[in-house]
Amino acid sequence: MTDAVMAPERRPGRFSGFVRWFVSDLRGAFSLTFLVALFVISVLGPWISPYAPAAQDLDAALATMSTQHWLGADDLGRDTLSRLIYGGMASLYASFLAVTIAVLIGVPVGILAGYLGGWVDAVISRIIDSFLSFPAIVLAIAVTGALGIGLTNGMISVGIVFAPQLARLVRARTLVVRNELYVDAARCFGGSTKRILWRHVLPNAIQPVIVQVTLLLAAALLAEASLSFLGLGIQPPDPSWGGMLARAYQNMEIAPEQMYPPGLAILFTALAFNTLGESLRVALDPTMKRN
Amino acid sequence: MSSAQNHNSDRGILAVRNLRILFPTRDGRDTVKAIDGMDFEVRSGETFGIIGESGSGKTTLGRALVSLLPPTHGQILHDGTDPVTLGTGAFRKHRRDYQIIFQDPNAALNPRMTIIDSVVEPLEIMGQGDHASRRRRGIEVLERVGLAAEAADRYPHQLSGGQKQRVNIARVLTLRPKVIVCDEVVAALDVSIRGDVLNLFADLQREFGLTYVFITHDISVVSHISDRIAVTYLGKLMELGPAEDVVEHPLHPYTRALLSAEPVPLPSHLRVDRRIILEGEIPSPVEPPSGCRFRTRCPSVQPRCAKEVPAWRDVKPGHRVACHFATANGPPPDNQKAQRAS
Repeated sequence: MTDAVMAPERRPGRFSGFVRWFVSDLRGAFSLTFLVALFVISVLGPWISPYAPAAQDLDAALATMSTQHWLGADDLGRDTLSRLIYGGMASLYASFLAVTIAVLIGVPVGILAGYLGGWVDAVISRIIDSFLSFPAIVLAIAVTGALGIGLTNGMISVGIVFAPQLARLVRARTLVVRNELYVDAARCFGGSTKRILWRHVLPNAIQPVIVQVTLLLAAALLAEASLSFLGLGIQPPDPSWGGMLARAYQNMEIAPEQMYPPGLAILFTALAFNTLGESLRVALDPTMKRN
Repeated sequence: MSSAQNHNSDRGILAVRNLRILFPTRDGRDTVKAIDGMDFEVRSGETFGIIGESGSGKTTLGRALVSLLPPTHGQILHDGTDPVTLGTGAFRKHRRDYQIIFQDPNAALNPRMTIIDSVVEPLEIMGQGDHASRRRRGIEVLERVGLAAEAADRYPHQLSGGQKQRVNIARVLTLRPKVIVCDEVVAALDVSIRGDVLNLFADLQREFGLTYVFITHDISVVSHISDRIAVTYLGKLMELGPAEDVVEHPLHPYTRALLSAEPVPLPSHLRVDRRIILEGEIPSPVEPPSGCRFRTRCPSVQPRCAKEVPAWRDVKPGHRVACHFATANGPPPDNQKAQRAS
């Protein structure tokens, strides 16, 4: 199906090649479009949202869909669509913050453990194991307790909780890559350890991380929702998808439709991250492309 | 350059002294004696062939020669210098002169780097020139080894095995090394292109005054291009001498058996040579046989072979052998055990 697209006889530039590939992958293109749209809507939130996110209109409490409130209103009469738009920003910020922290800690730690081996590896691996033996959300709650309640602190703690997963993944890949002949060859050329790690080990060990990162973005989104649901994440009256879901849950019996907007937003965003991850993995691996 | 190469030729550009390389076994209780006492020298400008079966320690030896593996005991001298004694910076500079080309041309290239990026990597490490001049130089070298400039921006998986091996050769050449260790460099290639690649090696040697250490299990390859040949068995050298001598008049029973295993392009009833079939497998390098390690498979074995390790002695000028009973006239005669194959 992709043959016609994949068979240009001249190699195009990296970027146009990437675009070309993307067009051939509709699922990936759709996910990317969805996420870009989500991002744009979140950034434009203050200008496009019909109401202020915290504006209460108790006459409209638990209103169903109408021309006034497209997606209804919550138990305090706050417009669901507006809160969804503002909450999107908070949720995206939260997921990216958590995953960035996880990558910044996990990848270097994993590479060092895998490449240096010996006692460094033994110590790091035991620490990773002990981190992994805690349920993630419990650990996040504990870290939030230490750092203080709030979205940023909550997501930093989620990032710390995710880091060992990445570290372990990177370590395992590094163990394989460091024994590759091209690493030996680079050593023979007199390449420094730093150079070998940067040019050879990292690019070849990072591939599963790209996929894992998108999975973690989805997981972080859910973690944000859980923490906010538990009241440890974003604080009222600021909106977030998790917080909205928690609020809607309390009124489930009176207005069940209130759960759908934040729930579906979380679902679709998580799905889009996952799909995009799969597409990226294929797109970034030169050996997966045909001649 | 060539004058500088000659001044140390008396002690050899590579000198291996009582080399032993041991690895712990998986359970940690014993050691694999991959290299168990080797002494030889490689002279500047020659092609030094090393033959052996799989499991004879050839690959370990090749890696040790270019300092990818440290000797457990003994020394490997590079032009009189022991690289182990150098500081990190000096060592990184020093090792550029001693390069290796691996058996698997594919695994030796980073799959995520374009061909040209791989080829200019040594220049980049040396900090030579700017990006454009390195690229120009890389393309020059690629063309020298017979690759079109179009290959430069491709990725390794888009080239054939033979082309990839040429890329590996080109990459090493950018360093202008003194010694290149070739570890089974044509074993993974189609027979049809082996000849081309071997000829390329010969041309480059003439052009750049290279010293080769050619490691292979294929005696036809090694006898073709080598000046001298060393025969390894289970981590030790069995015989070492001028290529023609070793091939035409082997002194060790093992060398004779190896040579007789070469296929001859004649119908069986026309073949003059008998094939000597070695019994059994190569023994384990964890517990090599006592005395002479070849004794368990040797057609000329005597009681003395189990008791005494044969000396590594000169039987003829420049022709050494490790066998109690070998003489300048040849290996000891077979016992009745020698089998004949049709």
